[in-house]
Amino acid sequence: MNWPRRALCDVASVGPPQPNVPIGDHSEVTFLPMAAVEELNNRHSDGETRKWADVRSGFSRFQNGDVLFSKITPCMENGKITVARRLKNGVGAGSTEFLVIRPGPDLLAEFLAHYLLQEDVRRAAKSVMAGAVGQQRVPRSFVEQLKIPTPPIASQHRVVAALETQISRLEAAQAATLRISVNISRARASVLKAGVEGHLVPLEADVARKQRRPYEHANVLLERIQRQRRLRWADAGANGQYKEAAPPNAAALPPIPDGWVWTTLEAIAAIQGGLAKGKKRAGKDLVRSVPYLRVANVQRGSLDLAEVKHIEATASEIAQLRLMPGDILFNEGGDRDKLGRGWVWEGQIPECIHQNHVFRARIFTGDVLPKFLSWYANTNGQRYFFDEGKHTTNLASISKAKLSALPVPLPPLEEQRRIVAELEDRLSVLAKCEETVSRVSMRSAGLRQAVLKAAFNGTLVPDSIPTSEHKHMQGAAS
Amino acid sequence: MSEAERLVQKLWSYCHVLKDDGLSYGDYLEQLSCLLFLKMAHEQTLPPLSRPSPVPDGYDWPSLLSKDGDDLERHYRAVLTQLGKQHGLMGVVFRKAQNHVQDPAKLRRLVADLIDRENWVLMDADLKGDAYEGLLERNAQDTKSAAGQYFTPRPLIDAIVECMQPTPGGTIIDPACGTGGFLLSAHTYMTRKHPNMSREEREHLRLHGLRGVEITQPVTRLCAMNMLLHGVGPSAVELEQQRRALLKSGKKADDADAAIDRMLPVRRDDALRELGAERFDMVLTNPPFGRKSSIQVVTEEGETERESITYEREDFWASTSNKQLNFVQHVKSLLKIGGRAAVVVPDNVLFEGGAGETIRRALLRECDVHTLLRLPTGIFYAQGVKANVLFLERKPASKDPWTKKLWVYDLRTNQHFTLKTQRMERKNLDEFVRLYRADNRTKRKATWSEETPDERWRAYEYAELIERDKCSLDLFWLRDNSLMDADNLPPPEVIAAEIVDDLKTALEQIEGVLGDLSRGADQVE
Repeated sequence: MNWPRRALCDVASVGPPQPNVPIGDHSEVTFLPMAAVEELNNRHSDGETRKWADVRSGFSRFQNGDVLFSKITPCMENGKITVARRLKNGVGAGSTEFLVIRPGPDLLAEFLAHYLLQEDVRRAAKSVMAGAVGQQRVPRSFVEQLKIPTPPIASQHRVVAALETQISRLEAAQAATLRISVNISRARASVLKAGVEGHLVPLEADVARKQRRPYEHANVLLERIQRQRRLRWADAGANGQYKEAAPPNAAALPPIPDGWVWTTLEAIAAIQGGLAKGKKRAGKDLVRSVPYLRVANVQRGSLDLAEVKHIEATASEIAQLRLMPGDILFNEGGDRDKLGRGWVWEGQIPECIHQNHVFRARIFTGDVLPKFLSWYANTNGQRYFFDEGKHTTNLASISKAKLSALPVPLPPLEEQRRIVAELEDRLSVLAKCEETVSRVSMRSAGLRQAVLKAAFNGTLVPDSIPTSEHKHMQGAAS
Repeated sequence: MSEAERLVQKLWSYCHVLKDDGLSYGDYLEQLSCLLFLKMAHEQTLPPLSRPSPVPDGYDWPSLLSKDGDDLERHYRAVLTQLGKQHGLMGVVFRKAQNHVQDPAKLRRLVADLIDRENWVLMDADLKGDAYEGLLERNAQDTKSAAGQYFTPRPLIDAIVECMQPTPGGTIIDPACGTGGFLLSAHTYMTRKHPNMSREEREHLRLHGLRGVEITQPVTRLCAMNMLLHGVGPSAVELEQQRRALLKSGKKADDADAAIDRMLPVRRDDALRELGAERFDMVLTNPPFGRKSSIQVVTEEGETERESITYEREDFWASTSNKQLNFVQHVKSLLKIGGRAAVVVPDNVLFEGGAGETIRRALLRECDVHTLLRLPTGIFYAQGVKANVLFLERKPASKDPWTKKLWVYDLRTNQHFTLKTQRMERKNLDEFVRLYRADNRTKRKATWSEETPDERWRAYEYAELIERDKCSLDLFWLRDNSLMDADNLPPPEVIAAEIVDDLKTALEQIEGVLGDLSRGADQVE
């Protein structure tokens, strides 16, 4: 498309000092601070209403149909460019960082605003920014001398109409994409909740009934674990009486499906606190440096091992605190939302221990799947942590005793296996979906720029123009 | 069991027998339509009616009945071909019809046991009409066929008709009639509401009151049969009598045929191609969703492609490739001054910029656009569709805009329907129909207020609407619980369905952009 290009100052007035519209001192006008202009949307909010006398000096001044171009960094790069519309009494004032451009008779404001929003144009503007660090601005001369395509007004109308069609579609797609992201998180939460409550896969009790065979109730499972717990206590050579783990008050707990049983964390796992930093030691203790997990490494349902620090520990400390695959990690505290969150250690780093704000629970037997337990703690367990945690302003913490008493529902082992398999399947699908949606979002942003480019290349709009449309456009424009 | 139930059972059982042979519901309907037509035409030639047969000699019902085995199959195919060349109702029913029944024995059973045993002409119209409709709905549910896009859910149609309250004596057109749902619902409504119609009114309703246009031949066939079975429109025998009378009065054969074709209630055509001269009292329609036209175009290179067509029409406000926007413009043009319309439109019609904005602004000025019903997802057979119903009245030319208030009913936010387990029913639309106040729209009362922000019915002033960015009518005020309520998580399937809907929305929008971008790029080359 061979549209003539002209310097912007030839087709528009750059930085006109006053509005053309007559306005009295006591009239109300719209005040637009920088925050009122949206990024990349060619839109602005309604701003505030002020008396003209109060804002007519010390601020930029403009009228309906002017294009506002933010010249300062990072507003310009972020695309804070818009046509001024719906101003009270047709007049507005605003940030001094707005460069006001008033299109002449041969230039449509909307056409210009979209043109300036193109990435190429903003990139070129950025490259000529001048001024002190943090105060870099686009010089007025760049804007005045900027060469822009100047097709006939009728063509400009068509370009703008075509652009608005495509942009409105892209915005609808973007809104849908945002909703999808939110819903993926909720789908995650929903499916986990269903999983730990026994609504996700068929109950072992039901399957056994249909197949007319017996099944192992979780009570039996629990018995096995108790036996092992007793044995280990005895093996450890501890003195005194063995204390059975107290069962939780099942009456106070939500109902659980057939075949399940309520128990506590301490009944099924050995709970261990971590190493305090800066622990005082006798001079002769030999220490060496080992990696360790901090609260930041332990996320809700995952581990973030991007940055693992090291700490000095004695041989016996390392032996006691060394994490083994299957260990379940719990955060002792921090922000309220970090309380009790955690995940399963899978042996990613050899000889890794943990600090004192991270608890580890090691299940006595293979009768409880660590992932099930961790998922439970991260979802329905959260209520317990919140209620039993100690809360000060902004911080919360949970003691080892309270953590030990965490009520835990146990499904039969076969059912645990089914639940874990199903959850892993569903969560991986959701994760994939999330990835795709992110990519789509980024590509859509790119598509918007491609649409702008096509518009100003002349490839977006068909050539012929029916007379009726022209007539209606003139009507709509007035 | 009652007669009705017995018949429906029989029709279904044959359908299932043939399904095992690989026949889809659509195929079955096609065979059924052709055979029913022949049988009914034959019944009318017998005493006491003794009318002349519209079917050419040697191709009529007795000729089928007398054959068996491969003979039958051969002759049946010949009948389909020969009758497909005729004009009038016969032509519409038989054009491009094919035999899908591979096994001649089964064809024989269809002919001799199913069709021949009943007297269809004498059978109650409601009975056979409902049975046929039941098959049509099953056909729409068959996701392997594309038939779902031609089927608007019946509860929605009935609610719309109840709001529009058509009266006998008027004319109604559906320019995208599909299988005729809107037209037949209007017919049923009028015959029930006005049981004491005069003979003239009844005849007018039967022959002139309802018109449909449908773009694809197979669906036109189904619509024609649907109407015939419900007693709407002239029968083939009547048309034959007319044709002979015209020929006798000196008209040429071609002219007589053309005159017969014009008497049909439904015709196959692309409604957007041409406005035509006729204007109507009412338009009820659900234009097809989606961007692609069903028209296959042969390009200069001899390849077929599906075009998204831009129509050049003097009466249109803006030129666009968006089919639904074009239908909105077309609907307004079809109306008499004072005529009223209800149009099902997707969200794009409400928010799309450019041509969409031009059209919305003109529509609000030149018509009284008084009601917008935002429909829930999960009710159409085309999945993920976000649709609405616009109600408007065409007004005479004026310098002042005609729309004063747009009343919006949000049946979408926090509503979850599915096609199988949670179907939308007529009762879900009861509140809307009641608040619509068809008896007197000036008496409408909003249920929403600042104190009751969770209610679904509220009005927007014209001034508010035109101030909105792009004059968008995509109006929502209810909080979407699914996006907010962390404590009351719906079950995973509900959330997953919403994700699918949004994915489809995003996909559709981006495909729209892509379509226009590619066309532009092609033209430059």
